[in-house]
Amino acid sequence: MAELDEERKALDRRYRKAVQDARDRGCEDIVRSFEDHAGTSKAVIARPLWETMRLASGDHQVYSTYHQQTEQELQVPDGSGWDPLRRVGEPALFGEYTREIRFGALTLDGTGVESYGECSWVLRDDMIAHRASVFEENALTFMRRHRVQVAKVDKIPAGYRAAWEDRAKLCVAKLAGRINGTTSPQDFGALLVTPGRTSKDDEFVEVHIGGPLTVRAFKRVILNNSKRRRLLVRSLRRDLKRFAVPLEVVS
Amino acid sequence: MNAMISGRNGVALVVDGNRLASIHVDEPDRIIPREPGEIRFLIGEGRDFIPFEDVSPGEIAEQLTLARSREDALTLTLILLDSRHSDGLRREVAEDLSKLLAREDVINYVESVLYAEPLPDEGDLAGGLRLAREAGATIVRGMLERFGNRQDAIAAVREAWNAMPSATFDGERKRWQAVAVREGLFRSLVLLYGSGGDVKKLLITASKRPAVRSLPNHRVVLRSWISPFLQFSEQEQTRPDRFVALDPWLVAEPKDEYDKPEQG
Repeated sequence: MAELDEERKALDRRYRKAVQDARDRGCEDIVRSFEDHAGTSKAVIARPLWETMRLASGDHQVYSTYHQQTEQELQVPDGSGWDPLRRVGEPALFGEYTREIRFGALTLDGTGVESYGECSWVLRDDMIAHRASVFEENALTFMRRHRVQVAKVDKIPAGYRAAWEDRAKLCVAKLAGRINGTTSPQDFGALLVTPGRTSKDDEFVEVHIGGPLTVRAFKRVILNNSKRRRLLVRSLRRDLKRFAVPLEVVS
Repeated sequence: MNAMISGRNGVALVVDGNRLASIHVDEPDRIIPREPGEIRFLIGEGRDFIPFEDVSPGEIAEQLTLARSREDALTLTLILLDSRHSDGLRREVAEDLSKLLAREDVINYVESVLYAEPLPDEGDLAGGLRLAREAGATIVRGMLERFGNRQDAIAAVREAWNAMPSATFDGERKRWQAVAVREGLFRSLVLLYGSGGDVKKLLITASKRPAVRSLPNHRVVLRSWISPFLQFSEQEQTRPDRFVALDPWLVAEPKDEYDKPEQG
């Protein structure tokens, strides 16, 4: 409880400092507008078509019976040639805490971090608000930047994460410095998710969602065009329709 | 370099010395450097990653494309067997599936998965066959006919598998099953048993597979699995009521040809 209180206080200090800075630069109104927009942001998870189809099939027996046959936990083979991948699999990723966490990004327009999958799942607030929090950026990138060892995940500095209902405050604390007198509301979406030169330079506010996701948590799905797999897309559209989830296909 | 390949995710996680990278099926010629923090997004819920060692980027791209074709073919097959979908969609699926199944390794993979479980009650095999026939999808029709004809053998092989106690697998039943399905062991045993062949040939087939040999208790599991069919064979047409591994030679340390590693 005390830790949560300290988190809130630290975030509040960063937030007030960012707003004061905007005021000094004469763009407080725009930052306030950004805050309003950020307060309506959604969580988005970019995943492959196959994974989307699996969820959209619900618990259909034919589908699950056969697809589960080949499933197993990720097994990194023995041997030094696999060490970099094995290190990735250490506690910060697959430990008790993170095993049940789904990672996403905040979005205003449904755009996710596309390099992780052609489908963007835009999630319903009412299905995740009670179990979601937001983090300044990719958590592992943050830990590396702040020299926090993965085994000491509890040593992350305070003020860089927030409960779902406080996500706008975190967005202001992180991004107000990039807003100036020429920033318009049309720019706000790109502030939240900024593609980098390479995928490792992608910037976003990371969303952590505790527990499993089902198709019922989807508000809509956006698919980057996959012409060569049109029949799978038609099947997906039909399955999503059963759950009243629209599928938008974009080029 | 080494790679973990997922046909479902359409991605290969590449390890080259100390560096991490990924190759994606839609752009197989491009190697994207990755930070450790990105890997979890690439893995997601993926549970079909297969390791490949000492492979070139070209070989990774080839295996990735094949893995994607296999998964797409399996998914299309399941759509074809699913009466919730319209006949129009299923007919088109049969047509597309024909092209994918033209590759022997793709059709073998689809059969490897299908033969691991009897078709659930809600599976529409008759409808799938009719639509494949209407679409002129001969190769699809053939695959479904064989699948239908082998349901009894598939059920028997699955029953024998389920009857093995968990202890046999040394706590790795799920991993064992994934490998047994993927490596086609269910399919092989169904074909041997269903045709009255020598089920002990499975031991030869399986023991040549590095993925199988790397599993705990592989000899014991395989011998235990085939034991009901040996009893069946020896008792001449009297199918056992319960599948249990009792024959001592089946669980003894092997000294026969079945356990020799593949040469060369």
